[in-house]
Amino acid sequence: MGIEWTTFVLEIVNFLVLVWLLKRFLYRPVKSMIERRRQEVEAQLAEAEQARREAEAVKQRYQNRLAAWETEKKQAWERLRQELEAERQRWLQSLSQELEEERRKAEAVWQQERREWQRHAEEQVLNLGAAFVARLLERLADEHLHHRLVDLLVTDLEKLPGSEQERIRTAITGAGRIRGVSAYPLTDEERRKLDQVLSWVLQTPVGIDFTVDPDLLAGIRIDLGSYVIRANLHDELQFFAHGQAL
Amino acid sequence: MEGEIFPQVLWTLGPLKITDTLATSVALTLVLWLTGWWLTRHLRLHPGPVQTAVEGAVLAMENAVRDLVPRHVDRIAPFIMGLWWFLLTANLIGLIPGLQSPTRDLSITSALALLVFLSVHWFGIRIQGLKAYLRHYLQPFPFLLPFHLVSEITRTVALAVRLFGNMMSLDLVALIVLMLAGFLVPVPVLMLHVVEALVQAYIFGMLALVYIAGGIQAHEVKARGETR
Repeated sequence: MGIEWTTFVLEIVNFLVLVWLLKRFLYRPVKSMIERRRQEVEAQLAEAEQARREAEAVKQRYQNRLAAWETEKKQAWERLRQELEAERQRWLQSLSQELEEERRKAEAVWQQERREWQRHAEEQVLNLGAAFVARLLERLADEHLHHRLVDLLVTDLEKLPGSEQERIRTAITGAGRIRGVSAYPLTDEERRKLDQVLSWVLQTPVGIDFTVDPDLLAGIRIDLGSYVIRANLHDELQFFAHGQAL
Repeated sequence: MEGEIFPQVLWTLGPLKITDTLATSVALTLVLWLTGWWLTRHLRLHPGPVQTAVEGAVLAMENAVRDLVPRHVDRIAPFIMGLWWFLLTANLIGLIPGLQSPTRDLSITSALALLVFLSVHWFGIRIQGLKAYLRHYLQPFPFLLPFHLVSEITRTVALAVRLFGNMMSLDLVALIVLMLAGFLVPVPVLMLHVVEALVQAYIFGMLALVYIAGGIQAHEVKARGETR
């Protein structure tokens, strides 16, 4: 039961050898592997952290882009709305102009039609009036009225302005003998007054060849070439019927 | 019965007497070495169950050392780990029929206790320096030096005798119960042997660690103060 010194000493050696062997073949390899694993885990954690940061950055960029897209979308919508509004306004303005143009055209057509209708109505009124006056004058026309018209012509020629006299002289230049037409035969006195007044107007002695045409109803018509002197009911009625008398 | 309880001399080489406990101890050394070599031969980053268990045991032991001497783990841990591995297998090997625990031999436990005694001074001097280490015997008062010296001797003796006594008594009790009660009756005693073997291995290694930590305590306290 005492101490066996050989065992004691050899056990010391044995244990020291055991410590060295375990340190060399167990402790160090296991520690090395644990350290490698720790580094591996730290590297993976660092990679994961890096990946997380990158993901955060990507997420942030994505969110920024989404926000930018949202802003751009709103701006695009606003531009589109403004363009549509402007286009609508242009269309409305164009349509309004077209409507105004159409209205003006319709107004012009209506005015034209109204004028045409008025002219037509006036023409009908004139025709009716002319027919009425013609029938009335046809009943009133007689030789007395004929002579009154001849006298009236003589009086008017005597009062003819100088410019009108000049026109008559110009119109008769180069013409031959003056022809005249009367509804009734003229008296000598009437022939003489007419020759005298026309000679005064033309500033040259003239002779007039008169013929009788009952269609004139009353009065005379003297043809001076391009200038015709009318003083009879037929021509007056014609003027009245075609509105020239107005 | 005496041959089953006390160490037997297997060979005598001149003045050297090779006992069965020494032979078992050397065999355990070989087994632990080969086992350690085999286990660490194909270590992988993604460990299997066996590697996980080995790494867990190594880390547990290392953490126990780190709790007491955090700044000198790499230097002290192999010695404490060697004690734990050796005592664990040495205490439990007695359960195998035909084999005896080396730790029932006072020569073996004394050798281990002497190694612990020497390691305390070795690590203390290596870490603190000779003067600083010797100065701690005069702390807190110089007149406590004799008590320190007696304490060094008695705790070393107690270390050796505690392990020897426990393992010897367990073997003795198991043998007596086996002789008196017969087959299967000592099984509960053997179960107690397992627990006692684990506890004694833990106590021996932990005490060794505490003694070593106590030897370098001044240096550790100073270092912790600097760290703070």
